[in-house]
Amino acid sequence: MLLSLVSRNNKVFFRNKLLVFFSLLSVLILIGLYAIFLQNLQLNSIAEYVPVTPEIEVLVSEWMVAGLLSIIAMSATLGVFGIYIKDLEAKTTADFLVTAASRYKIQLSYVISSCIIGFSMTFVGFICCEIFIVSIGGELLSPIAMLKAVGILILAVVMSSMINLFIVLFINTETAFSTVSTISGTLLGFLCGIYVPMAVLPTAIQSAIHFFPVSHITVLLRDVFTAQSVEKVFAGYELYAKTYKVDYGVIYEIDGSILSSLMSLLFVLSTIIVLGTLSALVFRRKYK
Amino acid sequence: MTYAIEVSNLKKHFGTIEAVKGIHFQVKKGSLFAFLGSNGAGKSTTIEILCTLLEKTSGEVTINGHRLGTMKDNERIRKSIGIVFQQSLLDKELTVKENIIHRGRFYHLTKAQLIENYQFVWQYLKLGEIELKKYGQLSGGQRRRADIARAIIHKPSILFLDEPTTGLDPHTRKFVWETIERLRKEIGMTIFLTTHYMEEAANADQIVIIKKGEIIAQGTPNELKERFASDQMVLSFKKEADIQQIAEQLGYVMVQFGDVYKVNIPSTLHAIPIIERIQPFLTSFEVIKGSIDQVFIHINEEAGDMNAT
Repeated sequence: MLLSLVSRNNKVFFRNKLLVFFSLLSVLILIGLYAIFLQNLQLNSIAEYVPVTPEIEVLVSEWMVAGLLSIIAMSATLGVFGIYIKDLEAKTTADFLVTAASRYKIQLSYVISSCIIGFSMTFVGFICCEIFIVSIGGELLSPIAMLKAVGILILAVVMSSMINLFIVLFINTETAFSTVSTISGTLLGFLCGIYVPMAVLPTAIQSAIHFFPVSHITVLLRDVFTAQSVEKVFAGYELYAKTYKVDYGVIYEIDGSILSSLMSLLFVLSTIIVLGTLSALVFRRKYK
Repeated sequence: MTYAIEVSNLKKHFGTIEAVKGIHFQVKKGSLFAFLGSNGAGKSTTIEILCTLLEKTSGEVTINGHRLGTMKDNERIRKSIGIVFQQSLLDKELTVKENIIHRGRFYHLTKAQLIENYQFVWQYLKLGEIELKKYGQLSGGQRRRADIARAIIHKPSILFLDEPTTGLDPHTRKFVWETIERLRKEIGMTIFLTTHYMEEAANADQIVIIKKGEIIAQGTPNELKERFASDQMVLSFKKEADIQQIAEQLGYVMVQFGDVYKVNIPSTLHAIPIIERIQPFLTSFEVIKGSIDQVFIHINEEAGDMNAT
């Protein structure tokens, strides 16, 4: 039954080209912005510290890819919850409720679908990114780094699903949903320090970003993706390596000390637990 | 157990608004039951309560022997009822077959049972030409066929239809009607119907008319017609006829409408002696049997007057 609901959601999502397109829209915009100017901007500023080598372009691309993958997880999972809103508004939910399916199972089916679809899209995105990196002369991630990346992506999808679940529980109409989805698509790039590097932002906003859970996914991914290139690019200029990492959000420096990956991971995990619990409570209140 | 549905003193409040104010009725097994009412009369609220979609405020509802209210009973009720909603609720992105099979799986049917049931609805609703088409690409009539197929995929014993023919072309309406009739006669399904079309209610075994959350009339179509709709004679006279004199002879009130005169009579048979008496003055006449339409309008107006005073 739960499986039937999930497979129904998945079919509805993948056959609705508009839903798929909009869940990838923020990714397409990001790629566009990169191609047009973001990449050059960053190339030039790194070139101020170290001699220009082809590795710099690889580094910048890897940095971009990390941000892109953390965005796919958010926008794809939100797109799937679009089905939930559509069902709610069109009263399709009523047609489920008159079967043996309970409200709780129906809701759970959207969460599971969002994780499955979120992960499949993220995973396809990951493969495309790796192909892209190799095609511009970069190296494939080492097997261990790849495992790390996949692990982080799974966490990213689960957390994104929880964040979006919590948000959509307060939405009842498609109009409201598309507003939220537009805002989230626009804000995400900024809140993960993708459109504008951390260093350029005012300290207050930097601190706000430190509290935004998705940005920790971006940080973790950047660390994994750029590790090899950072070593190459900053060989002989190790002092600048740390400056670069902090300025571009490859690592977070909070109150003068570096935030470890473990801390970021714990923050992500606790976000999943807290929002999961809160969603359950809101759900019970909403449909008691 | 002769009743498929028993409702007693059913009430539903939304905040301070009383949508349903303590209604009573029974639906016999295998019968066609028509639930009439204008928009906002409490029809949809009642049907949603019966279908377990909305919790009642108070009162007793028994469906197929299960008392509505507890989780277990509600689940048993859901398995024994099918619903054709007013709007089209199947997924536009999926084919008719995928839609029906998916929804069928939500009823805990075994695979073999589901395939058997699908074959049954496939034949019954002539799905052959549309089963592989996407639901979103179907015409209104084809959608209704798919909707009914989905509603009976688990072979329920009661079928609820909420204004099933609103907005359909006459050909499809006829098809829907024939299907409903067949389900009732061949399978013995109980049909619970709400409609705006009075002529559809005329085929019902029992009619209940609801207004502002209260039942204002119920009975068989004939009983209701006898009570609330009078038969009518429409007369037109020769130019030289003395209308005044005729009116005095009739013994009934005669009212002029344009160039014809209308006379309400207790039954069509009463027309015969009248026609015989005034035949020399007539150019033509017509005797009209009271319709269920009239009943509905009459009762609604009457109840409206009562509420107004």
